[in-house]
Amino acid sequence: MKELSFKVLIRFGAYFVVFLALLLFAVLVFKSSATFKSFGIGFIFDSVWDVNKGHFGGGAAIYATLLSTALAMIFALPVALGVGVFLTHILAKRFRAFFSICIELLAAIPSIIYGMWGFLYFVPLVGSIFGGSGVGLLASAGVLAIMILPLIACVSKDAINAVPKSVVESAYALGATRAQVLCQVVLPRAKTGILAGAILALARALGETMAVVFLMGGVLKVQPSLVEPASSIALTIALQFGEAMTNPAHESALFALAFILFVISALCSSGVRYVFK
Amino acid sequence: MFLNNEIKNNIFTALCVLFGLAGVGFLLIIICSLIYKGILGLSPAIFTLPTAFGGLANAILGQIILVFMASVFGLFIGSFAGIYISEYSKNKAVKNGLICVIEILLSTPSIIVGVFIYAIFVSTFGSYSGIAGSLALGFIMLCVVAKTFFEALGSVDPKLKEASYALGASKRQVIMSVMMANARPALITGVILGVARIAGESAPLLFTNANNDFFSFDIFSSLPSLSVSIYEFSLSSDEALRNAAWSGALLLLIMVLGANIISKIMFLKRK
Repeated sequence: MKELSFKVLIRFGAYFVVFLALLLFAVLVFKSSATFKSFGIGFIFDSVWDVNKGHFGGGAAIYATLLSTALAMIFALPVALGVGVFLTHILAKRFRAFFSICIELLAAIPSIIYGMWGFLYFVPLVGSIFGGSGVGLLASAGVLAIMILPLIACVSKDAINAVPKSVVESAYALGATRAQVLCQVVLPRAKTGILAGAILALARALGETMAVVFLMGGVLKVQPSLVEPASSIALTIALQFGEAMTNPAHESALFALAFILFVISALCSSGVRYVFK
Repeated sequence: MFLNNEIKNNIFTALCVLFGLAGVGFLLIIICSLIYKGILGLSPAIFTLPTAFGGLANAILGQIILVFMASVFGLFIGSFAGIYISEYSKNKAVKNGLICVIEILLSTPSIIVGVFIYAIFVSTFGSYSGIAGSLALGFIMLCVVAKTFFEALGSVDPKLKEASYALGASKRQVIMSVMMANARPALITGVILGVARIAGESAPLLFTNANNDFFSFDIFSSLPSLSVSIYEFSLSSDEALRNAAWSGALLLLIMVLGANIISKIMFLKRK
């Protein structure tokens, strides 16, 4: 009897998770169907978002999301690789545990704290160097880069550690310098692991909300300048969802944005599994 | 080339050291600026007054209730799903499919979880509630716990499993008394990390629980919450409230980093 009820419970847990995932997908599709029906696939490329006229296009939000994420990846990737190499091959052994815990703690800081900190210290810095208000894609990308740095660094640290010692030692024995060993032997071998970490970080940067609330400004238009306010998908949902609850067309357009974001992040996480295989 | 190998090597090493120190530097800068700003706003009022009068007492209490309810939900469903994936799914395709589902849910942006719970729960029942908020947080916790469980149980030595089956133990006994006990440090670490993660989340709470400025224990209406209170205070035009937001952020950071450090120490000790 105990045996059977245990089995039933366990089964219930697993089915419930699948049910939740299907429900999430169904809700996003159902709620966004009205928008895709009236604007078609052109919703993705249309950058006009006018609530009063009832015209919705996701182009501006998608543009800001992709651009800020791309910039964050460009800032974070080389630094994170440097951190990974530093933690595994340069730092003396007894300091390694301490430094890696520090890097992991950086990943645990709540995003709202990154947002407040970035708004107070990072935005004025960006504004004084590049002009403009400082709030915008560049400030968001900078703080997002700090947020995803530890994710990439920890995964690439593990990937670099997994390279067999004998390979590293034989490369040194051939008289290669540390830079040659790492760049030509270790990093190419750790490539898949590093790529997986980078994709995970990508998913995190795409959907980040609370930090971006403080940093991006929330003006929904295609903004060519990096230091003027813009608005990403997650930010648009966070700022407009409250007022959209009474307007079905507006709400549906926000669900359409959420659906697009969900599809992008789902593609990212299946990308990780594909890379590891 | 003007650069010979030795110079290139030195430049490479220097860059890596610089980046490594920068990573730790970011942590120190953020912690120090938070302590600097947060200490200014710390006063007894923070711990005694509700958010309506500039304190955070109700928010801290409400956050604890929310995170507790979410953890109960996330822990039960998540651990069942994790055990199923690791022990009961015999078909490889089913197992891979389930892992894939969990990982997709894990990488889903938290704001999407918020609007999802809004669509199925809040708009059905017509009001923000503590239950909806903790369901949203529990959804996130569930994925973290499930992933922790199937990874930790999967790494238990199969010989141990076979030995206990050979002694005549049932599947339930093997899982509950042998495998769980063996994987316990990893499981506890994962659970603590999951709790720390949801304790700092605010985006999923915005449209599910919203916020309450007074003391409230009614889970069927909005509960006060620390992270959303910090968000609201920090956007206020009142200097005192902004200072209180920084103190709240400092408290949140202490809670989250404290939980992380405890889990790290437990894991290191075991090794």
